[in-house]
Amino acid sequence: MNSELIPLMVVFPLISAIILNVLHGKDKAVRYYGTLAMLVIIAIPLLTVYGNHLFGAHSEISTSPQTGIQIPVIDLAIEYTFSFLQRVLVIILAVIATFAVLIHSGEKKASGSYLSMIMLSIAAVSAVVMANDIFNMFVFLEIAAISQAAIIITMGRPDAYKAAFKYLMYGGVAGASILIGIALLLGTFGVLNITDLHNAMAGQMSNPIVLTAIGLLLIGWLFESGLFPFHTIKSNLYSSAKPDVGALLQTETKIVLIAISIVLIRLFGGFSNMSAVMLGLSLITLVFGGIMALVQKDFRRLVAFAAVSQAGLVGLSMGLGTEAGVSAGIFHAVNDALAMSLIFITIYVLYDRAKTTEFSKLGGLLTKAPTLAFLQIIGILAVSGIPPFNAYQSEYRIIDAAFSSGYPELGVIVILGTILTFVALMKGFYLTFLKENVTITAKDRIFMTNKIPRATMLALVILVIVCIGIGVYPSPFYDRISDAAMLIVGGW
Amino acid sequence: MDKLYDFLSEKLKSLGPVHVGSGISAEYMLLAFFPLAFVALVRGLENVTVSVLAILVTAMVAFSAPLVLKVARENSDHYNVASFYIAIAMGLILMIMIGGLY
Repeated sequence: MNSELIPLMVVFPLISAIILNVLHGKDKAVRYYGTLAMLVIIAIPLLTVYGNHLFGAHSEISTSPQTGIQIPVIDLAIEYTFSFLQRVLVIILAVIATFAVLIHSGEKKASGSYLSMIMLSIAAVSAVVMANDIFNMFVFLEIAAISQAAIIITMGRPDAYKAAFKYLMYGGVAGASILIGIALLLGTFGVLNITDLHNAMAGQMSNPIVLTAIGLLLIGWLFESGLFPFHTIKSNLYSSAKPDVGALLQTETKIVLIAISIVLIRLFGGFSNMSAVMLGLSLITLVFGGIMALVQKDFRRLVAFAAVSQAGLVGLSMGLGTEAGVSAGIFHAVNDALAMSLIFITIYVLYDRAKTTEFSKLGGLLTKAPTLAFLQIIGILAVSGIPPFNAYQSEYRIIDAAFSSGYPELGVIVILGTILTFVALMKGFYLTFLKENVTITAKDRIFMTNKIPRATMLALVILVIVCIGIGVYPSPFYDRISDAAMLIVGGW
Repeated sequence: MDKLYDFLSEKLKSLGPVHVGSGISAEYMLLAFFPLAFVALVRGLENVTVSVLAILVTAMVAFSAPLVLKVARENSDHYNVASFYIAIAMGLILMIMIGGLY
C-alpha cells in the first residue's frame, strides 16, 4: 500500500512555515493562517491510510550470490512508514502544537516567524517518527534541533540566547556522533534503510565497527532525548522557553526519544551492552532530574527538570528492550507528554499574569486563582502516577516490566523516582498557591484574577479529559501500542 | 532518625541555598538510590558479596551526607561542567560498547 497522504504530514507544515514567514508582520493573517494550518495538521494523520510511502526507495530486495545477504535493488532512497503508533505520536504532537499556536494567537501580537519555527519543528519531528531511513532521520533531527533553538531565540532574552547557543553547540557534538555512526553502518553494509540494515546486520554484532556505530548512535540518542549528561542542557532549554512552548518542546523530546529508541531496538535489540547503557543513563536522569527539580527556586526550572526526569523513566522502560518494557515506555511517553503539557500550560498562565515564576515572588495565589490551582493539581497528580489519571497506568506497567525483566532494583528506583517527582511538583504548588508569602510587600504583590483566556482554558480542559479518559479506560489505546511493541522487539 | 534530620537540616542551613525540606527529601532519595544503583551495577556477582558491598555503599553515602549540594553543583549547565560529563559519558559508552561491561 502506498498512501499519498503520508508525506503531507511533513510537507504541509514545511509549506506553512514558509507561508507564515512571508506573512510575518501581518498580525491578523498570521493568526488565521496559523490556526487553520494546525487544524489541517491534525486532520492529515486522521485521514491517512496506514502504509508505506516510498520516495524512489526499492520495493523489492534481491539476494547476494556471494554472501547470501538480502540486499536492495535500489538502496539510496527514503521510506516513510505510517501505522497506529506513528498516527498516535503525530496526532499528539499536532494537538500540543495547536495549543501552543492558539495560545500565541491569543496574545497581543502574533509573530509569523515564531509560528513558522513551530511549524518547522512539527515537520521535522513528524518526519523523524515516520522515517524508515536512518540518514533521513538524522537530517530531520538536525532540523528539529535548529527549529527548537530558534523558538527559544524568539524569546529575545540573554538567557534564552545562551540556552539556544548551548543547545546548538552540544547538538553539534551529538549530531556529529550520529552522522559518523551512520557513516560506519553505511560503509559496512551499504544500506541506509532501517529494515535493510536490520536484515544485513544479522550475526554481525561482534564487528567492532558496528559496536562503535552503536556507541555513537547512543550518544546522539542521549542528546535528542535530553538524558544524562545532556539533561541540564535540555532542562535549560525548556525553562528558557515560554511555558506554553515548553509544553511543545518536552512533547517533541519524548516523541523523538521513542522514535530513536525504536530504531536502536530494531537494529541492535538484544545487545546487552546497549541495554545496560540505556538503563544506566536513564536511571541517572530519572533520579538526578528529580533531585534537581526538588532544589529549584523557580517554577519553570522545577517543571523543566521534572520533565527531564520523566524522560529518564521513558528511556529506562525502552532500555529494558522487552515487549512489556517497550510498550510501557511508549505508553508513558504519550501519557507524560499530555500530563506535563497540562502543568506547563498552567505555568504559562501564571507567568503571563505574574511575569515571574520565582517562588520568592509568588505565594498564596489559591484564593485569587482557584481554577488555575485546581487544573494544576490535576496535572501534578497525573504526572505523579496517581489513579485515576493516565500516567498511573503507564508507570504501573513500567514497574511491572522492570520486575518481570528480572530487574527488581530498577522497579524500586522507579517507585522512588515517581515519589520524588510528586514531592518536587507539590513543593512548587505549595509555594505558589498555598503558602502565604510574607516577605513580599503590598506594592510587589502579584495582581492575579481567576480568569483564564478562552483558548488556554480549552487546551487545559481537553488535556484534563484526555488524562482522565486514558487513565480510566486504557485498554483500547494500550493494547494497540502493545501490538506495535511486539513488532518493534521482533525487528519489524 | 531524629538525629539524622537535625544533622542534615543544620548542615543544609549552613552550606547553601537549598530549602531544608527539599534538601532532606533529596538526601534521603540519594541514600536509597546509590545502594540500589550499585546493586544493579554489580548484579552479576554473588548475592552475599552484593549485599555486603551494598551495605558498605549505604554507609559511605550516609557518612558523606549531605550530598545534595554536591549533586546540584555537578548538575549544572555551565560549559565546563557539562562538557566534562559529556566527554566522560562519551568515553565510557564507547568503552562499554567495544570492551563490554564485565
